[in-house]
Amino acid sequence: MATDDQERRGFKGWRSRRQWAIATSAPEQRPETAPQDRPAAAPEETPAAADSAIDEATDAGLQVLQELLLGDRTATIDARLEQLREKQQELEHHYYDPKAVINWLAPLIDRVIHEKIRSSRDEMCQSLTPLIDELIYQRSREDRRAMSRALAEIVPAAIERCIADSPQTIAKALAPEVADAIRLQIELDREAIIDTLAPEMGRSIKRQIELERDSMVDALYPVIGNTIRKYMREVVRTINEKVSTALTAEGIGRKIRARVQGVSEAELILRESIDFEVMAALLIHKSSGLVMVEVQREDGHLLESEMFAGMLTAIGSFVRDCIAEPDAAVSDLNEIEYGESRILVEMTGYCYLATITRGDLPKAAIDQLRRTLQRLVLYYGREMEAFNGDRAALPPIIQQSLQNLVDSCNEMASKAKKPPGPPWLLVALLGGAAAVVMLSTLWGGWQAQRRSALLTAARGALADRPELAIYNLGARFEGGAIAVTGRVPQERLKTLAFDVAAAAIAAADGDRRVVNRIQAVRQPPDPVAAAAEVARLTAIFNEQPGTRIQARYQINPSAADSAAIGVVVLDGQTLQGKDLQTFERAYARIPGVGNLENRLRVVRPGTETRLYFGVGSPQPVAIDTRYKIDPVRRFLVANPAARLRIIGHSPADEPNGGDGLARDRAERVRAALIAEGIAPQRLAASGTSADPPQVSASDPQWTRRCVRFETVPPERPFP
Amino acid sequence: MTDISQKICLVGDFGVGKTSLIRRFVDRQFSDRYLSTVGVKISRRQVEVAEHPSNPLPGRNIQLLIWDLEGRSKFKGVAPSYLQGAKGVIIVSDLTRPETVRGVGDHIDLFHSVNAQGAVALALNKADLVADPAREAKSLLDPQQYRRAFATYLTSAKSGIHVDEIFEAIALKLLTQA
Ligand SMILES: Nc1nc2c(ncn2[C@@H]2O[C@H](COP(=O)(O)OP(=O)(O)OP(=O)(O)O)[C@@H](O)[C@H]2O)c(=O)[nH]1
Ligand SMILES: [Mg+2]
Repeated sequence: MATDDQERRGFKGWRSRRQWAIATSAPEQRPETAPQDRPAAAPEETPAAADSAIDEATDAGLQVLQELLLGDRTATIDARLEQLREKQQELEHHYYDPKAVINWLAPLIDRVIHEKIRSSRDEMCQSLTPLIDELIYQRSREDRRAMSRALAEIVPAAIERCIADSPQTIAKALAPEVADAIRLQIELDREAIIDTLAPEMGRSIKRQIELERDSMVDALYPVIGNTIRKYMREVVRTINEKVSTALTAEGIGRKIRARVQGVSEAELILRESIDFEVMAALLIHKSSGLVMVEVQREDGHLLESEMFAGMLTAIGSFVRDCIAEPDAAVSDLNEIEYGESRILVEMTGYCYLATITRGDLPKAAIDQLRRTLQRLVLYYGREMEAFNGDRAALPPIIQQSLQNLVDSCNEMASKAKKPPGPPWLLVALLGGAAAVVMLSTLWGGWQAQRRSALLTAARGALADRPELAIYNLGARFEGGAIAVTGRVPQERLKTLAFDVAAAAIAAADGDRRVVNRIQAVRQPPDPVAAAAEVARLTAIFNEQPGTRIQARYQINPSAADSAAIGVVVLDGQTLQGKDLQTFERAYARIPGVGNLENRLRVVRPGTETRLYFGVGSPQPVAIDTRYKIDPVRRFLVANPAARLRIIGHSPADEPNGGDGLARDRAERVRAALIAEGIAPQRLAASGTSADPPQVSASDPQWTRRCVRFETVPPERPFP
Repeated sequence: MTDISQKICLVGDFGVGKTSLIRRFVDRQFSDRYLSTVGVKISRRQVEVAEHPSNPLPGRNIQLLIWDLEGRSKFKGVAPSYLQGAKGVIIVSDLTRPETVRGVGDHIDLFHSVNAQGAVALALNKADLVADPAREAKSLLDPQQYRRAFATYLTSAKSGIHVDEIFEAIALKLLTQA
């Protein structure tokens, strides 16, 4: 330890001591203590015994002593010293390389912490506590996956404990987020949430409904609707089966017609009984009964929609208050019938859709109605919830989807109403059927079996392709050939379906002729789906660095073609000119987008930079030199083909200013960029006393003294 | 520009003149016959406030959807579900029946339990039947309840006094809240 006495001895003595100290201590064990130019630390590390031995010696004396004592060992010591020095330098270098430091220290830290915790646990806690949340936050930003893995093991246990300790608190904390979370998750991955929720569904839904019924209903509506529809599909299939076993005279006639027309009998039965019309569709705010959106047939007499909606809502409330069982969780009015007319009510959390029809809507129309409402709730649920009586504040697309819905239902009706074909056709068909029956009897049972095996093969192949299985595709005999039948929404699917069926038939009977009777029907585009797709694409494009676009999907009601009714307005900026076409093409491919208004700009970063100058000075202000040159350099490095024109500005009325100074300014900046490693031939400097774009004499004077950049396309020479 | 639609309710004890006030406001008519309302009746009238200086949305009118609810009686209260979604309420009482004025507080309570932020106007009706309606009102109405309303009017469905005024006041109030 250094005493006052030792300190007074000064620098001279210290140097000798240092050498001694090095020679007597084991260098490998204490490399950190090898002092080089840290005088203050050295005396502490010098053994006290050595001190007293050296005190009497002078520098020269010491040399002699060394020689005597150590002889040629001095050489080894020098080499050691050199090694040490290197080692120390390496160490110092590592100070600035955090990774290396961590590697060095890691094995020690564990032990230190252990020791510390053992000796003073509370202290340790106190010093770590304020850091922990920060640590977790940082770490989870660095490596989400690892953090999740680490937490996953304790979180369930922690939650379990928390639920056991105070179930109320956790319910309260989670409840408001549940509906939103579910809504989001449904958007992202609908199947996953169904799988996860299914086992716990009943209980948690009940609980949440108790807490906040409306938002829950809205969140779940899209899923519930689907589930119910799945169930209904089963029901229809059962009906189908029943029908096919009913062999009445009328049934057989229908059977033949069904075969000939390539539709299922059940559908035919439905068609025969169809006569319907949608008079109006109203989207009604559930609690207030105000009309949010309405569509009415123009020819019929107009409905007093506001009064109607109010009364319907009041009736709904009345039914709920008085008739529904008090314990039933959700029970609402579904249908009101009076004479020929019907009001269908489809409820969601914050609004409901009332459709006023004459006659029964076919299942397909009801399906479409549900689908539309599901989408509206999914995409515009928030706006609907916030409805405050101002219809103009709702997205116009809701109105448009409702209009499309009514139109397409009524289209369905007018198709269904078409008079049946002339009777001779039926006679001919019956004749044909009779002929087929006769022939098959003649050819014998094996022939008939073979034919039906062919059809089964074709149908099976169609049903096995997932992308085709959802369409009602089939195969039937047309004379000696097999016709593949059904309706698909795209030309591509038509070809695919035909190829699949033909391949299956060829495998069973290589000579059989196959004809394509599939219809590709172009479905009217769904604006809600289109808007969602536009939003999705935009999000994807915006993930590209440098791309910032906003896309709006608008409806142009006056468009002549219903396919061209949607307009996408693009705004924003991107880095490269070729992006413009890519984006344009992608948006134009969305069904329901007819027109595109492209206001995108190509903006190259760095080149919008301007450097500013003091009055009469050719040198940019210091802060601009410091911060604005580098972004330009980076831009040039990132775009090796790009070249820059550097334009200096100095207004004629600037003291000592004008064209000359303007040029000087540009040259200075050019030189600075060249000094940063940019090839001189990529940079051209010029100057002008004219004002830069967007600046005029009325602007602040300093904005007129600047240097700016323009990119020069690679193929063109510098102007 | 479309109108903004708002739902309001008229609430009060039976026979105080709710239906008569609405009829006066919407159809400009009055009848001495008493036909008690069953359930709900809905009426509609546009209130022309587009040019009104205190309209926060100049150029836009408001369409009132007025729900006339069955009056409260000894046997039946007002059904709260009818009050849902109403941004405002006119609570009607009958100056010739003191108990109806004293019951105003219950009606406000009920309305606020459904719409905590809703606007409340008080109509002390049948003012034509009372010699000094202002004095009568002062003696009957609890000042505390008076303060819970943003406006109080002495109305008469028969003479039409202050009928348009109370509806216009609530319309403007709803526009400022929307
Ligand atoms: N003189 C006078 N009579 C009124 C006035 N308002 C209502 N009346 C009469 O009071 C009676 C009841 O009026 P309604 O308007 O039907 O009362 P209500 O509040 O709708 O009654 P319920 O529907 O049963 O709750 C009727 O005979 C009206 O003519 C008024 O301002 N002056
Ligand atoms: Mg009444």
